[in-house]
Amino acid sequence: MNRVRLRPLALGAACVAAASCINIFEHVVVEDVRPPGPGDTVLVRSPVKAHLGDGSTIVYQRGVRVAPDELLGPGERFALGAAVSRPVTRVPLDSVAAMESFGNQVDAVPTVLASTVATAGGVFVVALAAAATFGSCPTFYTDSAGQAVLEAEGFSYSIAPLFERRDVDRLRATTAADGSLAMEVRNEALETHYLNHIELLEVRHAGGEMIVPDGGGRALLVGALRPLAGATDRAGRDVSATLRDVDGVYYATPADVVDAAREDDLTDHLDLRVPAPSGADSVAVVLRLRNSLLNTVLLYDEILGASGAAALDWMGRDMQRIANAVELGQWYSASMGMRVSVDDGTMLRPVSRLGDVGPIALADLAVVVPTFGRDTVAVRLSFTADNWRIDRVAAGTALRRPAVRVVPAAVVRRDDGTADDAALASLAEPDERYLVTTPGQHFTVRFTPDPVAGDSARTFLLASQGYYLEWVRGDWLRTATRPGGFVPHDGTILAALRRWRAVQPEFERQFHSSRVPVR
Amino acid sequence: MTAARTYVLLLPVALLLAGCRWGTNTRYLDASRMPVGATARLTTEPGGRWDAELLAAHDSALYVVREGRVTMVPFAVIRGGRMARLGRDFGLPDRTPPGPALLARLRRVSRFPQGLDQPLLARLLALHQQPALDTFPRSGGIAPARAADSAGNPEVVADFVRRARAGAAGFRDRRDAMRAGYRRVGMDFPAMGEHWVNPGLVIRGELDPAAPAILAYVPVDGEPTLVGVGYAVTMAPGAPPPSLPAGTRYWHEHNGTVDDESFVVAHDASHATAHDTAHDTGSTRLAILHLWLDAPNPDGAFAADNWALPFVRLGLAVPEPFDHAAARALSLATDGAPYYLALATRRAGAGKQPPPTASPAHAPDVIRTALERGEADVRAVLASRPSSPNLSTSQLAELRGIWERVVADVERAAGGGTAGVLRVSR
Repeated sequence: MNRVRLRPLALGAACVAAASCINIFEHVVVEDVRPPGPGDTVLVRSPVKAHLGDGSTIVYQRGVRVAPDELLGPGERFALGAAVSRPVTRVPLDSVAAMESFGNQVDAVPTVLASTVATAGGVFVVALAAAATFGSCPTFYTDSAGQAVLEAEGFSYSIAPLFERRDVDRLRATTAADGSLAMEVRNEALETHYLNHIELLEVRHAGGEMIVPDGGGRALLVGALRPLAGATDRAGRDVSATLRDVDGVYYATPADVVDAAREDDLTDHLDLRVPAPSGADSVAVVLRLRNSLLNTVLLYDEILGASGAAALDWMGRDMQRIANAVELGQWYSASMGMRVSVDDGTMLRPVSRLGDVGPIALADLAVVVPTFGRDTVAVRLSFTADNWRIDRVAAGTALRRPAVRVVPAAVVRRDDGTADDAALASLAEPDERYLVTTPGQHFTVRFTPDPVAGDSARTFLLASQGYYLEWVRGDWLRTATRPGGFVPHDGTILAALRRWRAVQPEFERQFHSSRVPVR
Repeated sequence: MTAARTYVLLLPVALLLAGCRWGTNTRYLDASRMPVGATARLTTEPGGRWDAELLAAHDSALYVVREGRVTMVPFAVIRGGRMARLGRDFGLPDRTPPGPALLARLRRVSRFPQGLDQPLLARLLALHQQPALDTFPRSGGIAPARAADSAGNPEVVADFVRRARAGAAGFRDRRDAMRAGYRRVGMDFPAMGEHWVNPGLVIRGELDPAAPAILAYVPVDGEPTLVGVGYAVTMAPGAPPPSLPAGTRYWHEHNGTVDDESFVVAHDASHATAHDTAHDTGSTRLAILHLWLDAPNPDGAFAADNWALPFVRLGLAVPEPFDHAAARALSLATDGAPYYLALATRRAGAGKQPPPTASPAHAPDVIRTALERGEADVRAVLASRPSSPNLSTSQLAELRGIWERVVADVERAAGGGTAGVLRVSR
């Protein structure tokens, strides 16, 4: 039998064999066990406040039951500006603008800011609540010829007492003619801010030298800055020009990289060629950057919004448990922030991790990396795709730890100009006393640093410590998609990234236009 | 219906039942039926392509069984891999560790998804008759195996303490600790002082002697004084605490709220509580180890409670033999009363079998009165002594008596259970 006649026969046999059975294609997927679907009613056990659209507030000291269309349970309703309450047991859910957890046991001695805006602020809050997306920390402003200049945002993403964090930000502000430096602290978000400590750090240095904090909040003198010798993105594109100057032109992860992100590969990276001073064993990489709103989408939609009313207990109870907070912190640290690695000739050696700085104010940060004896160091910045907006990356020409002077707050003034000694005492030390602010409140902290000699320059850093509790929006109560609080899992970041990509332009516009007014 | 038509109708059903199956089914996947990890075909540089059983995926390396030996493979040498019968290749072309999602996927198909801690690794090495862990490419044994063997070894302990002392040196001034990110958590405990915690180091969850996550301060002459450090490591469900540096028994867990954990009665095993090492929450847990660097501890440098602190706070010499009851009495004169009051009141409020004569409604007042009387008595003893740092035997006995009277008063007011927590309080 020759081959020409064999081939059709073999093909025929194969076809018969294939057609003679049903082909079932199988594979094994290994997944974490997920909780069941959402229920109709959520019992919130934490003490909560409900802020209603008419400006009134209902206090539920012993928690509340959140049904699909109403709040059920004994509460005390305070009309706008009223000190006397009346009991309520049923409240339509569509009248609720937002809810917040309160009364945590960690903070023994809170001081509530005595502000005339506190009362009027309620009106602003509820009017804005439906659309307010601005948030994630207190904001710090200085005054420049009557204009408020945003200088920094404090302890971003410190969303529970156990995540209380000290944040150090480089200020561009200088002292006024009277030698003082005044900083206005605002709560422009639907959040309750718990401020523990605020102080000014002063570094004196020569002209032309630059002072920036490192990832741990310690001041670094990095000398004058030099541009990078080269910078490429993950696709190999040259991004040197984008990163060269402080010009508001940011590096953002290209759309094709974001769209290609998968659950097991969410990372974008930049490869930098950093010139090192001759003979130096280390060099500083100096960054000016802020976060995108990916983190905000992650917090609002994936962590809090999807849980609806259950997010109140997640913040008020779950996140007070040390083990739960550590688990969330580890998950977040592994996913977010920025990892810095250096090529030592054999491998990329991790040298540092920068935490997220927030989406509102640009931050200056430095990372010290070893040179391994080279005059140009290969540094990689790795991060979850589209988590950052990077304005400038440069190299420091000198490096040392400068002497730092601490300038404590001298006075805290309310919006009507009167001094608030209780507020000042609460902010003086990182202890158990907290200054609590609600949306729409603001105050001014004045520092009086010693005069400096005429030929000396100085840079101020602002250290702020605290945490905040996000208010659960009324919309989230009505559109929850899971029955319990957030449990960290692999798909969350990708889901947030997809959602962020879908809503980005409108969400950015809404975010920046929905600050809660303080005046 | 004819027989022929019946056959025609039955044929597809028969074929369906006898259908061919392509791909992986859990029946044929060892990792789903047996206590083994998935088989990984790894591509490494150097080394090429080779198979191994996946034991655990850590942040920086895979642990595998390769040619019968337990082996650590750093991600730096792994270019990619594929899980046999599970499909989906993964690649690590740029020598960086995998992202969290890939790491989680690797962990899920590992024999030990919770990771390999020191004791488990030691047992595995013993099973495989290995004196030390192999590394790939081969470079001899590494620290974890030796560490598991050497827990409690005086040299290991001394080295740990030396590095801890160096790490703590920068925080003698508490303001430096504040500026390095430490913040106070909880109250000032009579036998533990103030805990200043660095959340970033807690979340990092690694045991680095030179980077303590906790600093313990007590006021001496009005100045916060560093007396010890603490370490925090995270543990997967079911995993024991580290054996380093002095053995697992010195570690205890804190998984509840700060408030709950502040009023745990005692750390010793004889008073096991919800946060004890035997407890497993089913999720990530936090184990804590204390090390008293600059204050002697009669119960050992790694014991959680240090009852010498009341003496240190007052600038007194720590007596030998040590008297714990006298130390508790002394703590009344060093601002310990609020802690005892909170502890006893919580216990009394829980209604744990007060005696018939007790009046729980007024228990806090009676407890407060007993503590205030005890504090006044202690101050009287201290005022009457000469200006020597040493307390005499009779003064120590007097202090012991004061403490016993306080406990007896509390017992009468709130019951034996409440008084009991004072006897063993920390």
